[in-house]
Amino acid sequence: MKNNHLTDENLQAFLLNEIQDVAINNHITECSICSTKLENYRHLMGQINEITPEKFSFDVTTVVMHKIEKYAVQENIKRDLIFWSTMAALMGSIVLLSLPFLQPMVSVFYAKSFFTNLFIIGTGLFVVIFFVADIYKLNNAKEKILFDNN
Amino acid sequence: MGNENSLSSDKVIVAKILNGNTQDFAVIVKSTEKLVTQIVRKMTVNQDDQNDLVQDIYLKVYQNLSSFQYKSKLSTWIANIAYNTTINYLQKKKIPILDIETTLESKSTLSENIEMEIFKKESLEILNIELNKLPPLYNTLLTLYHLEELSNREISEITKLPEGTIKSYLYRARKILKDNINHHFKIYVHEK
Repeated sequence: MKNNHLTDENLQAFLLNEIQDVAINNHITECSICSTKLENYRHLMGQINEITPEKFSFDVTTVVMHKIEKYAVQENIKRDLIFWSTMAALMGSIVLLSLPFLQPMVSVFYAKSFFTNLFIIGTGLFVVIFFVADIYKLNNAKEKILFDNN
Repeated sequence: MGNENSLSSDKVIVAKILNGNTQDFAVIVKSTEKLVTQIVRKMTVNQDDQNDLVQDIYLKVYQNLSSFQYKSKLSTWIANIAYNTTINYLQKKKIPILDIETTLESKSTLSENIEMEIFKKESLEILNIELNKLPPLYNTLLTLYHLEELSNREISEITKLPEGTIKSYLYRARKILKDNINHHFKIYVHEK
């Protein structure tokens, strides 16, 4: 007779509407053991649904955002470091490669008058200052866009 | 329709974060913290470890956000990271996720103290105690299914376990829970 009873899996599946079988339905209405078991499961599932979700003793968003911001700052520093190291290495290589050409370049100035040299150096300086100012302006504009987005 | 909305809002928020708006990550944390809390709290006991785990989980999410391919909901992907990180933690600590005996043993101090008071408590509290005695995986699966109302398929995406295995674990977990609660009430009636 014992084998005729419904299994716990069948009872749960029936309760959760995972199986819909007339034979199971009939058995439950006739068998007091299985109907008691089914009621136990119904009560249990009802109680599980009533449980208040657990919370942490700390504020998750605050703790996580603190960690993320710290990580983002570290990542930015790392990225900047890599960028400036690469730039320094690049500049260093350019200077090293151009060393053999420096002597003939400087010798150009020996032959000219003081005012011509001043004019050449002044023009060079002006071009450099113009580029630096332009880069500074572009950088400020980019920062403003980023700031506005935030 | 709901899924499409959730997918497009996921895409917007992820794009913002990837464009450098770190503060928007708080939106993701707020929308998923309940789910992550359930997974971590059901599988671990120590509060300091829980704090570290939550930070680790969200840091992994932040680091890997660019590799998220929208094959599932963002919350499911995050829950999967939470589940894997917590499982790794349990494995490192050599805490079994399915062994009932060992799990009960590891919480024996808690149980002993509780046993003294247990018969005076309400049935919901007994249920909570019995839930905490379950192996971490069973407890998590029950919580995801009943409290978070996730389907077997969604739980399968989070845990990477076959749907059939999840069903079978859920059946077993409910049976253990029902038997243990019945056992509690039998003792209670007997003592009375």
